[in-house]
Amino acid sequence: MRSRRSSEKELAEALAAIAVILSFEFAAPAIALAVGTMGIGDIIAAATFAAGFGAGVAFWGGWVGNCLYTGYLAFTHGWAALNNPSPWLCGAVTAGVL
Amino acid sequence: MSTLRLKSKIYNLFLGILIVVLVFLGELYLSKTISGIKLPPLVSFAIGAPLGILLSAIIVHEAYRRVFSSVKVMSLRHMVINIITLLAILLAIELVVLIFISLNYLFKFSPGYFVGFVVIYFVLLMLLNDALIYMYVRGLGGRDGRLILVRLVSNDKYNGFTINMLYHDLVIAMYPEEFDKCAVDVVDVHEGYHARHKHTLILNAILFIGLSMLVYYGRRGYPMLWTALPFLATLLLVLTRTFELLADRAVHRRLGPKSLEGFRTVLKSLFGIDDPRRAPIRSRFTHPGKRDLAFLYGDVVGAYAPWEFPLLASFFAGFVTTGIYPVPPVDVYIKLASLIYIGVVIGLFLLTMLLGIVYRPIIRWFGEGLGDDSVIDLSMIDASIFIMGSAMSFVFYSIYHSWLYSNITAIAISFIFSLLVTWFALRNLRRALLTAVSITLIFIALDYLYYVMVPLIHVLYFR
Repeated sequence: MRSRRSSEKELAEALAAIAVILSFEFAAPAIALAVGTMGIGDIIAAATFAAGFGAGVAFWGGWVGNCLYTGYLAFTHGWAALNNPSPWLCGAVTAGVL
Repeated sequence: MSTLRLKSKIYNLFLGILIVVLVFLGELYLSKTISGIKLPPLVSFAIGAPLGILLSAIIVHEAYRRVFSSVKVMSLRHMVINIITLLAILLAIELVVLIFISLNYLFKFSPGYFVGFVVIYFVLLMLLNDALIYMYVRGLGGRDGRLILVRLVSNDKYNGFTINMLYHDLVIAMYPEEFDKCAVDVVDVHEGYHARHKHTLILNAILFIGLSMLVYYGRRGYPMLWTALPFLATLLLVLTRTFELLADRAVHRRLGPKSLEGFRTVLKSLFGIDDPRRAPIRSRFTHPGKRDLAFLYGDVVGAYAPWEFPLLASFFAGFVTTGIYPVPPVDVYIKLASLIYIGVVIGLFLLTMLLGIVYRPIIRWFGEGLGDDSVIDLSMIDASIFIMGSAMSFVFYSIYHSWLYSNITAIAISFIFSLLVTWFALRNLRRALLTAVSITLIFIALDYLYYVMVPLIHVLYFR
């Protein structure tokens, strides 16, 4: 069951695959530029979009972070409310329900 | 003897081709004849559905007549063939009716009501099937809780079949009078696993819900929705092969490595050869050729074919890229979308295979003790997860309206799924985590340009 093939050969194949992938990826926009379906501006715009690192940090730090913080607050307050119920509060709620 | 066998093989092949050609020509002829006549949908349904169901019943009956031809007791043989044909007819009627009502009436429902209706329809009709089949088989075979086990004595063949219903499970096992104990155990444990885990019921549920949703959205104006059909078919195929491998692993866990010998006896009785990798293609289509690894080592991952997950991923990506948009059904849009579909499927299949080759040294490095087959399959599965994840960017874009967040979410989901799958294969959290982190970083580095291209495809497609 153990590996019989040399890892050097696999490493060489992986490097060859990387070369093929990269040439494919560079060929696609090159062909699109040559045919005229898009211009240099499109490439710059797309690269700017994908490279917007600051926006990504804002997303994870802001929206997602707030969601996590809300969950944390709900958990801690819920835990406190379940474990330390005030007798006055219980009485008031029971009276209200009755 | 061999000439006879060859002749019968050629005869079967030509018969199959002849049936396909005749059905195709018949459809062509009918579509030309009927195109001038406008029949109401209910009338064409009432004519077409019974004919189709009759044809499928004849095919199923004929196929299982051959399969059970070595069963000794004639009455039992007919009973079993009739049960299977009855179930095929019931399922065909239910599916055709569901498609018809989705096409003509249910498309007016909102998606939530529609899915609810389909689920209730499926559950009620599976109950009905259960009751009908149960009435037919209740005097037959042994009983073990939900399981009804019918044992048949054959001339020389070992075989087993499972039919899952909503409550009862029917297992039909056959073997010769002078049987090999190990081979019988293999058949029993394998089919018992299928029965216990409701495998055929799961496949039926996916078929019913998937097809009816295709009809529903197709009727509501998604002209490229047909692209989901190759994905659905491949999904069902890969799931079937997975279920078979899991059942084989269950045999290995019960009987140990000697289960391979029992399995070879079964295979030899069926096809005359004891090597699963040389079994006929009709068997290897649903039962992977490398299943001897599952019997011998309990290795499920290594027994897959390397191409199946990349194929699933590329069909999924093609569907998500072109199929989920309500483009106008104008010729120029359809032609452009079809071209993009073909390009995406072929291109991403190649990309997934290449990515798998890139991942292989890393999986080999961290996956201590994995065999050659497992290493290449796990690499391909991980590569497929990343390709499917990046295709999901399109879906996330419809929620976030930002490519950056969509791509980040796609990467995060791909990372989590690859971690999960790698952990399932390695059962070692540290190694799985190292693998998942490495291949995620490689994917980002290598396919950065691909991620740049994704918004461009979107722009090309919609402007």
